[in-house]
Amino acid sequence: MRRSVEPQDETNWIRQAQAGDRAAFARLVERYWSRIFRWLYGLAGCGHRAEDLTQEVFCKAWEALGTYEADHFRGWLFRIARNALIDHRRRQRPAASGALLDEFAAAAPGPLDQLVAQENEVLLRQACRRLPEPFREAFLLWAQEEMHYADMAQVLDITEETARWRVFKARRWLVRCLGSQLDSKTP
Amino acid sequence: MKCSDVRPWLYVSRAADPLPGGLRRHLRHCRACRQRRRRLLQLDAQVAALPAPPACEAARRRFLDQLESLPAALGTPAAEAPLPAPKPRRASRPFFYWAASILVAAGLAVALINWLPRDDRAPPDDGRVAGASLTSMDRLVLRFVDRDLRLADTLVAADQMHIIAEMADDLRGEALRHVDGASAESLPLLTELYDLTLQRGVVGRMRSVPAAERAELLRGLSERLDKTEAEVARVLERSPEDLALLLRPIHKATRQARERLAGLHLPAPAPPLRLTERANSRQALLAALVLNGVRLAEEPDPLRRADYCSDVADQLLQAVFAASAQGEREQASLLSKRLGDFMQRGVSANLARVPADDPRIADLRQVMGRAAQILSALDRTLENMTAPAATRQDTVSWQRLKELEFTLKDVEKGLKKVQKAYKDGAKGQHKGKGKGKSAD
Repeated sequence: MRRSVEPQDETNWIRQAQAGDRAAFARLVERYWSRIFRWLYGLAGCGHRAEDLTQEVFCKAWEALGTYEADHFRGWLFRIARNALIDHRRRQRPAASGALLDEFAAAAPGPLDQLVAQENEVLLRQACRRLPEPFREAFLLWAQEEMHYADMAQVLDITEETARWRVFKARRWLVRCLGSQLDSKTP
Repeated sequence: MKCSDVRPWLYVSRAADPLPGGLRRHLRHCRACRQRRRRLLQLDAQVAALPAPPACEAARRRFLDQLESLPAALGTPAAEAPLPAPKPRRASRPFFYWAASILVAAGLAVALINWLPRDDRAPPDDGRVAGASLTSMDRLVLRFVDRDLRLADTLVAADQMHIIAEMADDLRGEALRHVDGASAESLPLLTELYDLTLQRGVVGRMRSVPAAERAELLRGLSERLDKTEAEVARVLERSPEDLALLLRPIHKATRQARERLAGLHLPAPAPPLRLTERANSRQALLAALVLNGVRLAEEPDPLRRADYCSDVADQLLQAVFAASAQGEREQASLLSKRLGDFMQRGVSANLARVPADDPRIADLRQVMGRAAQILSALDRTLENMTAPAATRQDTVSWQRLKELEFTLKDVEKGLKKVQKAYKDGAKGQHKGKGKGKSAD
């Protein structure tokens, strides 16, 4: 689905956006918004927080686009997303909701899960949330973004071997945890 | 091909990756592996198909509506509109498998680094060049930790040989830099380590390289050694006599290694190397890493490899504490990241490879016990540190404290599981069944 955009188009949009073309940047937003949102949602475990963070990511990307020189826009964007999440957690007041509280909250189905109301999907989300975060962030990049280990290493600031290791452990744990549930065809 | 050979490949590959021939044959006959593969592919597909929450689209529309009102910030110099710099990683939460319980030591080390008293105003790497505060010896140590990690991962002789040849190159390069900088301080150590790496790690290991790969490997190594010999000879010519004297062993070791490889005078296997008890300096840590790298290459037994890695984990932990105590936060942070990797890829991964029916219960208990000792040392340190710090009212410290409490609870859980595994192992030994550890 998302592969329908040619890499050349994206390069042009980046170049145009760097020259001040907001419409071109809007196309990049269209292309990456839901992907960044989904990843942050998987890590933060809260829709509102993921929404705020996604907005912050694209604001930062717009501000810093003039300094972007590499040819891995996706990795660059996900790296901003990861740093935004870390910054956000640093800023958090414990009384409001700490990362720790998020983790506890993640153990039980939230209102969103109830809305979704598909048992398998809820189980799958819960299992993913029970993964320790370093493994979850790598696994979600692997499964949802189909990211290569080298790109993953760049986004997560780890070595390629560590990225491979984290995906290995996360998939092994999830397969064990979900077991025969994975034999069904729908999530 | 055995299931245990196939599994690692299955867990890190995608549906679209071509199946190697041996693996395809194994899958054809092994129902369990076929099922595992099917489930893994289902897992990826199901996670990829998870929809984003419905609020996502509305939020995107709102952002696009506001896009026009965002101030133009294009071409802003990096100093004015910096990208968020990579931040020190937070304590990772441990696994809940018993064998992996030792991983909490790594998580705890990272948490400890975050907890150590410091200025909270800004992260250390914001606005600075990464690695700016590191000395060349610090960088050398970090590179060797990475190489030891790679050696902990692989049992392929040719790969090991490449990594050890890289180690030798790096040591020689560092020695030449010392000579250029007219610094004799670490030269004797560097030359000694270079000699050991070359004679024992490269020449000594050539015997284990399959004959089919040996010729090509030998050719590459000989060229490499020729160049090194010529380069060192040039430096010797222009160096003052006192430094040349210290550098000459490198020249000699290179020539000897080249001659021994050319004549295939390969030495018989030697007894395993031993590390010193504690590395009290960067130089001692470097020596430990080099020795450990060579012995990891020499040792195929996963239990011993896990033991070797726990040796290094222990030394890294001491180095993390020392760096923290001296205010070298960047080095402490980088070392603690590697310590985490070492516990995962070195200790835990090798323990996971020990067969479930391995009868060496006592050895297994010893390795696990050492990991528990690392935990215990950390636990005591944390107890001493948390009491005064808990009185601080700022939210950052409060949050760190909560994280540490949480991590410590996991440590306790992990230790209980380790103890249970000991008991199970002891029972198995008593009955003569020798069940030392679970499959993972």
